[in-house]
Amino acid sequence: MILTDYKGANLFDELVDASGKIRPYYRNVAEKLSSLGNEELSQKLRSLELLFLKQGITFTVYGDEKGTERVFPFDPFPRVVPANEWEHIEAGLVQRITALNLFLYDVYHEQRIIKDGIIPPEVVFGASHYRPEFVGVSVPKDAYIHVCGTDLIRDRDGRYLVLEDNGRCPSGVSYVLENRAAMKRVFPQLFGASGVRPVDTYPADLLATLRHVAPRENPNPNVVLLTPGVHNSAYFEHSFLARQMSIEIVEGRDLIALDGFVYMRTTRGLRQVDVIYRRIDDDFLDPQVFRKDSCLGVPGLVDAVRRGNVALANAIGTGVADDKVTYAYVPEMIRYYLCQEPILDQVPTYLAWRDSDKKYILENLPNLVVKAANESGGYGMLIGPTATAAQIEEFRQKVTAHPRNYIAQPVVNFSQHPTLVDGGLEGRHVDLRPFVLWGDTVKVLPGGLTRVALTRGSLVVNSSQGGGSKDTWVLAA
Amino acid sequence: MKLRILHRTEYRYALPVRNNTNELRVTPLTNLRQKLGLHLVRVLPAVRMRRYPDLYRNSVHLFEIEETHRELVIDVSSIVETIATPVSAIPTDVPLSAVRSEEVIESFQPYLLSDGPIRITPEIWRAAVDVEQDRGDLFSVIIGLMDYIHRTCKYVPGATHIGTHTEEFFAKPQGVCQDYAHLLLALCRSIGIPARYVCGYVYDAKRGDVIGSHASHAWAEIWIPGYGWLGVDPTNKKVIHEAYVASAVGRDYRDATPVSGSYWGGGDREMRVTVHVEAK
Repeated sequence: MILTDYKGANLFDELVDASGKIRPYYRNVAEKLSSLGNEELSQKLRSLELLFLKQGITFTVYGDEKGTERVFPFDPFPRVVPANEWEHIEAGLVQRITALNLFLYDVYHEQRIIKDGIIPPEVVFGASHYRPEFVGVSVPKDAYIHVCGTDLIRDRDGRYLVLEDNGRCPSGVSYVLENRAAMKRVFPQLFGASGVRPVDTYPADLLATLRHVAPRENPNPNVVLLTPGVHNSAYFEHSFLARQMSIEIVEGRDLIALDGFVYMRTTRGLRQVDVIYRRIDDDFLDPQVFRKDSCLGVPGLVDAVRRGNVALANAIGTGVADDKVTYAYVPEMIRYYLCQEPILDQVPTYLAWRDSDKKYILENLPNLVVKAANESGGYGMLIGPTATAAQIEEFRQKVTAHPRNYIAQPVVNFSQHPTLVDGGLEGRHVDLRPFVLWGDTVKVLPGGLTRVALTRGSLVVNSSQGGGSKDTWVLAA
Repeated sequence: MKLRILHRTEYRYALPVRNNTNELRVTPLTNLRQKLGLHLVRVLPAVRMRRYPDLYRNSVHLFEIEETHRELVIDVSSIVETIATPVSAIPTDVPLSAVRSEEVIESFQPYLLSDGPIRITPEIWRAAVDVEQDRGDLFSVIIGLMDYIHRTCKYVPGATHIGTHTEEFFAKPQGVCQDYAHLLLALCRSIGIPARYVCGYVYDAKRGDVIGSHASHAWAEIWIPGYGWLGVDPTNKKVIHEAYVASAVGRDYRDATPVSGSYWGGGDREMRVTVHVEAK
């Protein structure tokens, strides 16, 4: 692989600095990669692809006529994060999840942050994932978000910015583990003396996090993973994590709620369930409470949760915290609950429900990214600079009709990373989704999922929109 | 040296309690010797945290849990960069008379008092004078007093309690770091040397070598005119070095208590403290 031709661009490049020199923490891996011959490299790429296919590391794209499963594209040039940068990210993430959990506790109890005038009531009560039916309900250990996947990008100066928090059912961690396993198998020589922090304790840490909220005084609580089923885009991940944690993977029909307790149907009769790691949205959890037409959930589950007989991770109603309007208030939350300044910056956000912001948004649509407040996965989004006039007009109408549902942000031309394209290296935009576990202690998986926008110039990294991924190396020192 | 400190305090109440108000002095100080990096206090049950600096410029966290609860967990994580201060920088030619100036007495009055757990008795004064007599300068007197304590006292956990004062400890010299530190304060103050109490953490690289590395630790700081506060740890017979992290200072234990508070409710209470200090 030839590195000498690789050039940075007019934005932050992960590999090279402004003068085109390779950053010191990349030298080791860059040297080893460039020593590979073309023949050797293409052979390794073939084995990588085969490995991913055989492991079934796939995802399903919604809204695709063919409905095919695709192999998650993988780029072998790892992203390297030096120890000092990671320390900063880690601290910022821990601070953020702490504030978000305090916020969730508060909005489902006394709602002091609203009474004290820090967050306007319409932000909380107008969020479509706010669950007023859970006000006053206590959850074990006051934990709402147990697993958080926070998306970070880097601006032109290399500053890490929080793009969004995923506090409902964040996915992608299985790719982190599989990417690492594949890299170790195919490129073992890259790891020598690099001091890369391991990621393989994640399943054990996740299980500990889940067991921590078990409601009974039971030394061996029964933890299960609730999946919507094989047609879900993240089913690979569900089965992967259940297998890694040695817990049962269940669908709604495998569970039954009786008298406020939840049981799992087994070949030897019913077995009580203590903790459900649910990978189903709130809406589908329980047809008695939420969507009546859901066949994915368990009737009576919410009652069992309310009575404190079973714990859900993440808890019901966390969507109000990762709402894109709420996002704009996270720095205020950190100040309010923790009496600290935010460690990680975030992207400036205009809220369409504020009249002054709405005016600005409507006047500047071609220069802004407009997002629906409650969507994830890159759906329902407008990227002004690349949009057609018709798309802009469509969003103008949407924003005018439902201002609470939309936010806008300036386009951040976020960082790029060399990526293997047709045998050569080209810069492609990358983001980073680290995973945070909130249990007896707060743990941040070293690294996270680096997603790559494989189309040249594209800023959309979501796998559902044609993104790929990379292994992410956090250096020990 | 970069240290990561995890300090957990757990309370379990036999009967539900409410209106549990607590003040925490667990935030490592930022001064010439140490710089606080990342720092987070996490409390269960969920509660909003407030902060204020106290009279001694300790950073105090304050919270109140109104609802009934049976468990309180306070988790503090900090990353601190400590700076090695060479022992050679400590002046060895400051005469004892330097602390007996009008100016020093006036500015350090709180650190010269016989008050609360610091009880200066004629016996304590006698011991200090004996150490002082054959030594010329302030630093060697301080070291002499530290050696004296380390020689005559025995580290026995459980032999004393939170309210043990120096008169008691001097008569029966068995106790823990808090008693050691208090006694050093009493000895120094009895001969007019300003001395204050320090609560903090110590990193034990060899694991098992340093007393106090598994809990919060306590030592003393002595004022040397022209130099500043000199930290000395009578429990381990050491001048404070880069493995030490101070989190609060004050006249005595009462000003620097890591966790203090009150609540409504009866019944038994169980407390557990765990401290992990690791080098990064």
